[in-house]
Amino acid sequence: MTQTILKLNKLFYSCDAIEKTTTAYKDVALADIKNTNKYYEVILTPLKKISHSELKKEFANYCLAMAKPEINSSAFNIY
Amino acid sequence: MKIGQLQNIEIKDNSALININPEIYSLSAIFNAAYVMLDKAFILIDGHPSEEILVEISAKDNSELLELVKEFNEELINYVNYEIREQRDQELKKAIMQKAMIANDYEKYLDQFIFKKKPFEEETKIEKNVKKLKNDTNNTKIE
Repeated sequence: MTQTILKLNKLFYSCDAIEKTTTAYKDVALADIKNTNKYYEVILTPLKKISHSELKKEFANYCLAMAKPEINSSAFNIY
Repeated sequence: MKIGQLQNIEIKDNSALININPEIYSLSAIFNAAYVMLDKAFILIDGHPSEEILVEISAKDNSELLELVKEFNEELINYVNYEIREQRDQELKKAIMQKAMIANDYEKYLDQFIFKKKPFEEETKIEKNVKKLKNDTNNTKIE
């Protein structure tokens, strides 16, 4: 299986959010997290038939949803 | 291709890159706007929270990329406006809450010390009952 690398900025994405996403995606892809200077590098190995770009985007979206829930929770209080 | 008078939107292939000034838009507003758009678009945030924030948007399904970018910008303004209003009304909310809480405490104070003397009466009743019981037990022992 080929691998793809997703770079997530440490200033916006927490390690906890990436770990939660990794467990949520355990049936879709294997994820190996590397801690570099500025980014968390997530090496994704798809387990199902899914394009690399699609997998990266879906993974990043899920991470964003998981990242900083205390900020996101206020999204429901707008009106 | 750069779009808009401010040229803060750059379109590459199937994705748009938006440069956001963090001095105008707070990080929480950006996150909230992104969160609302998650079911319509793929979003990736990069950059630096105090210098320049880059938001990459690519469309899910067949939705128009430019429409998504516009919607994201509208959401951003929406949330920033909400935050500004919230900050402005914070003192007023605080004052209303304080007044409500003080009024509530005042009623409790009146209940306990002015209108009703139940707690003290109840205590004395209990004390009387206890004394009676003690006397009764003493009497039975003597018999």
